[in-house]
Amino acid sequence: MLEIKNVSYRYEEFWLLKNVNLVIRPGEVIGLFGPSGSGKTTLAKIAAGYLKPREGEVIIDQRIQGTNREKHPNPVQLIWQHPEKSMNPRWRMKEVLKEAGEPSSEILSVLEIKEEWLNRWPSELSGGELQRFQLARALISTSQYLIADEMTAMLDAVSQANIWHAVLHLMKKHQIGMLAISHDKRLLEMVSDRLICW
Amino acid sequence: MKKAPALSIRVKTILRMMLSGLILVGVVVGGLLIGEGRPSVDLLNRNTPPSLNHLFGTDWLGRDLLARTLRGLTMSIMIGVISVTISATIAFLLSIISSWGRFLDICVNWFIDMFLSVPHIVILLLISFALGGGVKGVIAGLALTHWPILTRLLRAEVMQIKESEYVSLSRQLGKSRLFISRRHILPHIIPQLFVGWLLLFPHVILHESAITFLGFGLPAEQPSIGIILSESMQYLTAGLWWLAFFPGLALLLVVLSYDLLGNSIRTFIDPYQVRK
Repeated sequence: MLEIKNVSYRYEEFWLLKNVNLVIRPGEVIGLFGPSGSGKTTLAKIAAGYLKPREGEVIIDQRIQGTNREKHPNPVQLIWQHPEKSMNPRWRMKEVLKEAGEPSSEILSVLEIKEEWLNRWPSELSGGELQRFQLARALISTSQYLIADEMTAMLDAVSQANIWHAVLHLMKKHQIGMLAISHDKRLLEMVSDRLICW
Repeated sequence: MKKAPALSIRVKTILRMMLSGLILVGVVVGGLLIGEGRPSVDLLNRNTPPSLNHLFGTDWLGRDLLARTLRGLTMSIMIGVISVTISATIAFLLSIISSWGRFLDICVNWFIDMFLSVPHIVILLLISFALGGGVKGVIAGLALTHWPILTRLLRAEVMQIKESEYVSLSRQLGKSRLFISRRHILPHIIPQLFVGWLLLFPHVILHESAITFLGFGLPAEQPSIGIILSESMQYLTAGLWWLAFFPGLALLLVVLSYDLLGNSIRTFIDPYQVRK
């Protein structure tokens, strides 16, 4: 269970997040909808351990986020909106995947990652293809929770549907909890078990 | 539509690289071929102006100035290679260290500022003098004074990569600092390091000549452009212009060749220049 407990955050004077509470259970998709600038991405970064909350804490299965994870992958993985920025441009795709671990053929086939893409550079793949790799990388790293921050915002409707279909299938099968953040309310209504509107 | 130039920038860059590389290789090979014994003293041919026998003329001991110049330049280039390599290594290590934490970064910056706040040639003289001068002192002085600017350049690059999404993601995947330095940062700064290494040469060679000219560098028995130039000062009023003119010109040529080589390689590997 991923618990966000009384989390508050501010960049400067203004409290962007104040006493946010949220629970994500394994296998559950929670949609988070809100206008831009409302702190969705900040919450995503806090949940995934990129930012430390000013107050409150994030607890993953009784363990506080950001402690005791030397040399271990974080069980909460963030899926960035722009996959091309989250990959080293000087690495081939197979190296990008290997950073998280050895890719299983199941993940690659469900996400429809073709064998020949593995030998390409990130600049030689489209945004949708890269986003599949980013998901694969997060899933390989034995993560139990995914934070998807506008995961498919830059994709066309068909790729969007394909990717969500694959992700939901893997999540239910491996009991992975997910926080889906988007400004697309219709998409969230389709994919999530619970929807939070800010 | 603009008319395409006769030679593309790629071809021009390759030509420039070859030209400057050829000059440098020629100087070193020439200097090595001349050998230890030459230029020999020939008291019958003292102070002769440039002629077909002695292209650069001879000095007051009848030594051929062309041979002296080539050997001096070879010496300069050798000293340059050693001290620039040490300098670039220092710059590389410090820039990597500065990415390991905020406190370390402040320390590195403070170190850079400290070295840049004192006039370059002054520390160079002090270090070289403190180590007893000679080739060892000059190399140590040059190596310990030429890293700050390159460090600053590399550090900026390292900081940019460190803040990138793929590095912070790597950290969330549980990767160590060493892994991130080696696999993420290193491949990005190798090109800058190499070009920086090349562009430090002109600096180092000029500084070597400068302190030798001032009498704090290489001893008088070493072949060196700085020695030739400082000796020639005594004869300038006597009208022996070739003593300073040709060695000075040769030094300028070598320095310009390095500059050309470094800048050409930078143009060559800089992705923004590719389409021009």
